[in-house]
Amino acid sequence: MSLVFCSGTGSNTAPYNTWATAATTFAAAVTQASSAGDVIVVDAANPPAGAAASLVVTLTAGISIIASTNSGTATITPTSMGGSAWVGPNAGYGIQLNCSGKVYLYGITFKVSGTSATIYVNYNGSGHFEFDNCLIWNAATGGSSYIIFGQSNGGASYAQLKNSQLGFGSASTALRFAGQLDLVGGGIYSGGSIPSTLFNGQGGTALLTANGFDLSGMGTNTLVGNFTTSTATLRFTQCPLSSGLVILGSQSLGSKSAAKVYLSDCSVGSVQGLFGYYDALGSVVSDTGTYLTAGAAGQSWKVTTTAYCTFGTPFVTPWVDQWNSTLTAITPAMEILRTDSTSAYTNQDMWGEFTAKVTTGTTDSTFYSSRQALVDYLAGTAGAALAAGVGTGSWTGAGATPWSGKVDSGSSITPAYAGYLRARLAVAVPSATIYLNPQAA
Amino acid sequence: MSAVTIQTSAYTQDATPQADGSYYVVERHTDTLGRVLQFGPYSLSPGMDPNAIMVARAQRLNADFANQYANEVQAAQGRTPWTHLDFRDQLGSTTEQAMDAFFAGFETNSGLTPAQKDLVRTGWRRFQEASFIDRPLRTEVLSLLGLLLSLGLITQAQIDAINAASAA
Repeated sequence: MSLVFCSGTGSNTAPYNTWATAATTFAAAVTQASSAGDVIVVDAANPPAGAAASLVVTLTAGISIIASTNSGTATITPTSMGGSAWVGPNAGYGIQLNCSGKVYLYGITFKVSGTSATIYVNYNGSGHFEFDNCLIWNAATGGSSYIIFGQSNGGASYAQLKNSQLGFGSASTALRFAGQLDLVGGGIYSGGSIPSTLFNGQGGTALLTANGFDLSGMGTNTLVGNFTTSTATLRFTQCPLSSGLVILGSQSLGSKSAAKVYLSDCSVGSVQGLFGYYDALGSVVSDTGTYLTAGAAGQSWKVTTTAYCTFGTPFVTPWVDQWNSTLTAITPAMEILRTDSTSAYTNQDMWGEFTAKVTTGTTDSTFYSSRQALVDYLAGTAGAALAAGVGTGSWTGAGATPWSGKVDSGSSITPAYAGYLRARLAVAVPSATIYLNPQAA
Repeated sequence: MSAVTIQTSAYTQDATPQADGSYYVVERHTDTLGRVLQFGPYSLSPGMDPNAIMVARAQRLNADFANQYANEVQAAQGRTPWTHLDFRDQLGSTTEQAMDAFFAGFETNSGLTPAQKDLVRTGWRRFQEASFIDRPLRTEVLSLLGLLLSLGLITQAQIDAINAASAA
């Protein structure tokens, strides 16, 4: 393992193995760190000089890049650079970090600025970047001055940002990603701007997980934008939100080939345990204002569909897992409520979908649905009114003109094993709102 | 062809507040193509103005549509940018090879002053960094062709033809 020192105050004498002889450019240090296990030690207070050219580097697989106080000795004291010092080129030039393997970075701030510049991580793909207490800051003010992770052709790419910050130069910029991106802790750098849309696609298939990533400063902007060239799933867990934050912007593809978002235990303020799901066809949010009074923990699933739902491509909620120990015939159902009319919905408008293990000797489950028969739908037959529910009086916050109903499995089920039934609501009615008690009984 | 714009915007706010006093709001913006762009439901704290938020979002959407339209107009005029390979095809193999040889060795070229080498170095790096070559050609690219002309690696007639092709 070799130490390669990098500082604006070094003498730039290869092999840069002391602070005194440190490389004065980041690119030179990268070239010198040519073996797995090598460590580039960057002066946290006196970083290497920038240049009038883009900083494009290919990092040797297996190296580490650590920001440290300059003690003058070989002792490395990991110290985050923060917003007052950074590695980066002159204004108007970009940064491109590539690696064909794994690289660990601690405390490094990468910054670009000017009118138009991009920070690109994994442009050549197949790299595994671990950013720890880093700041990735695109301070350029132009609308296309993105922070980008992964390749536009959807090649292999992984990055994790742990307790790290993302900085932006204007409201028109964004973080675009392809491949897999994990955020653990951290948030939006307070010394920059807030993007009007934070996440967008870079092409291919993309997966983002964020755990404890602070979104409380996002204001009334949009968390996930319009994905038109990539299919993505974004999962946010225990992330504080801002009031008025739109979780998923309108998806012009109008289909589930765009983005979908899950929220788990995320909210504005101190309410715990809320849930959300969003895709191009609709959304589910926890509703603590309108719910089945005797139902699931004082909340319902408020289902709101977009204009893109159809009978063949309905909005479907995530599965509800319901423990069942009855091994005789049952017809499970879920209670629903509409508050905008007293008219019953039909089994052409919405229906229940269930799975259960009904065959012994296998874990295979069988699918059940109470949707109107396809032959009847194609014949133009009107849907059958859904069964009445427990009654509007059993709901809190039902409003003045409610209708109570239920969706069931369509036919009886005889479970073969005690275990979880799975249930979900499918909604074909566009631009509708329905409240679902997420319990199958 | 004209830019898409937002024609109508409307929001609905739940009559029943959430346990923490917030309200769910859904915005629906209809554009000139009849598409409904839906935002929400999002949670709004008491006292916040959903109408102001909706109006601001409609303005941002119109700005995005205008940018998209400007890009589409440029593409519709047939001037989609050249790739670097497209540009090299314009030079012809003789000029292309001579250009490559020059840039491979200019740092040790005794005929250039340090200041001239700085300009050549940065200009060449900026050209290489560009994702594509704008059409018609930027001043910087014309300067590159002018450099090749001064070195005798290209003729004025070739430059005129490249210019004409870039503007076609």
